[in-house]
Amino acid sequence: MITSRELESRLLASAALYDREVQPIRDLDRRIMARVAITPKAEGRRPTLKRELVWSTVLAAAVLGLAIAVVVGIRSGILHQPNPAPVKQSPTPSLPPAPGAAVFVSDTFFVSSQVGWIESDASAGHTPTIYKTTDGGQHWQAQVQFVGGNALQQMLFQGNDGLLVGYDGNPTYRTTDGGAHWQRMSLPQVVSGEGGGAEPIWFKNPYEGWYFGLLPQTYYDNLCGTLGCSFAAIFHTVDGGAHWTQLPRFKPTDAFPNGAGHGQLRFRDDLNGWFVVGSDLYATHDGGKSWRRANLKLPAIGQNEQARIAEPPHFFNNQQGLLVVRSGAQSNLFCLTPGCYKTNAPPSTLYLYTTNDSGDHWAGPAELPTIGSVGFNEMYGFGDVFFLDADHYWMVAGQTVVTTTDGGKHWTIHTHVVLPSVSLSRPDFLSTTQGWVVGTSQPSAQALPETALYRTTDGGAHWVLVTTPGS
Amino acid sequence: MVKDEDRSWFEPLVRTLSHPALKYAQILVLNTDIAQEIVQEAFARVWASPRTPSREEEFRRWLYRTIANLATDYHRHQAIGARVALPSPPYEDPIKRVEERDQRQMLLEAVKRLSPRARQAVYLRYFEDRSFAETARVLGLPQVTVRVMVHRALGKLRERLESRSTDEVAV
Repeated sequence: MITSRELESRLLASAALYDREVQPIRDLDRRIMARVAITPKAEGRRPTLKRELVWSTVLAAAVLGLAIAVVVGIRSGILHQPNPAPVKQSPTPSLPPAPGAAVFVSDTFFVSSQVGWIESDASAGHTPTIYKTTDGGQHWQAQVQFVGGNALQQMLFQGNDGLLVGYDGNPTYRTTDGGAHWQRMSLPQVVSGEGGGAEPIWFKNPYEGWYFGLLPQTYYDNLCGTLGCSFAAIFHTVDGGAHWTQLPRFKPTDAFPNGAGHGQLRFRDDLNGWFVVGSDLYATHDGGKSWRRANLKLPAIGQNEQARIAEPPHFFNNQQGLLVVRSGAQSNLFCLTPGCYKTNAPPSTLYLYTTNDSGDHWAGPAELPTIGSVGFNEMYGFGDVFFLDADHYWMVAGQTVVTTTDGGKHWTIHTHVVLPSVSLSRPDFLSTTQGWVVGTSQPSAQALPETALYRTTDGGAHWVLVTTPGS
Repeated sequence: MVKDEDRSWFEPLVRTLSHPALKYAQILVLNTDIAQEIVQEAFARVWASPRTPSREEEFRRWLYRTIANLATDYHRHQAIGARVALPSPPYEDPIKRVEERDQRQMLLEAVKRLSPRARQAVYLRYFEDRSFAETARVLGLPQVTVRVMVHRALGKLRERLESRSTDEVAV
């Protein structure tokens, strides 16, 4: 039996072998520059090196100042909060124990205090499995193995109807009897079963979803070169993927300049949708036939920072919605606590944008609280924030839970709700009081993280450990 | 009109990154000629974009994503052909098989048989020795997804290596 560590060191050694296999091509650089010489630049402003240097200096000073502030902040236990929203500090509760479960909880979905599902991916290469509880987590029943494609992107339940959607929609499983039976659903008939964008598929509920599919039709232009690009179309389903309706095709490189392959798709209804690429927000109001870039006033950032939309528009009804922009330094600066999950992600700032007119106009940016030195894990993105409705939000990072009950006017910070070795993520709230969160700890840099599930019944001030399969 | 034709900032990046880019493209498409074409096309695209960063690390991420997109397009085109005629299993030369008994070579061959997406993740994580965070950033996926992807890939590699060893013992 080959151990994981052994396999990993063999893989690292294989890199040298691969290096010998792929020899440098003598005139490749010349051919690249020849291709570049005949390639016109698209219009736009490139930051000059001089400008970058100035910004680098400013950033370096800012980083130094920030580092000092963080250290002082940690020593004095001060948490930064945006003005003018006042913040209440909750008393430290008794701490639930650290994770130790054998399974890796990567997603949760509760439809009541007793009934819920988790996706569990055991750490040693075991099969990802969906478990269901009907008694608040005292017992779990393995329902289906989520296999046959990519990792799980979305898990949705409503009554007895449920949908498990993998990245790229591959695979998608559907149940209509509470999970007793599952049926694998087909994607629209596109070229390879993969769509455009990093998240080409998205479901609003277990019934209605959209898919950004690439068609087996190619076009050639300056951008697509001799290889060509695939035409795209939006597909819509209202029966959990049993049937898909295709809308007129379009050229994704025209519709989404600078990143047709990287975006995330969201729709509010069958006409209004968005595609997010970095900090660009593209909107459609005709079901995906045409797209235009939405006007979003991004927060001011330095040269070595980036601002990007952490989550596409999220609507609570036909009028009210929000989206979140994250900004922060691009480079890895520091990782001061064990709870920052070894990503060395720098503290980043979240900004809230709201709309009351169906997304025609977005008000913002309004800065959301930053949680001390931990910040929000950049790679986890929206998974660290949960919006129940237009008033009630929760954000988690490290051992801290931040919550508002008035749409961000006032915030309450609950610190040290779990042990220092645990880092919280993926808050999931059923009501203003009942919620769940995944706690992650990492025994060592080489080991896989371990997870556990925590539950609150008081809106996030106190948490108790919920039994998970294998724990 | 073209506003910025100064290529002086671009050439050093081509010199530094053309070979790493070629290796990355080749592990994705497993064809030297196609990999070279993709690398040229990718550099041309990042040159054309006014928003391409000029700092090397950011530039590299941008370039790698472009390469991955082009490789995906290439696989899609291949998929059209595959509908018409499924490729036959590769012929395994017995002499070559003996040569491949070298464990690293066997492992490299096993990596090449992973799905394109898993290959990308394994290549960035182990062949370029990048952290999970950096790998996730290049792939544009959540880190937890990349961890899961890599660990599933390791499971497949382990299975293939062990079944290969069993085959050889049986022979």
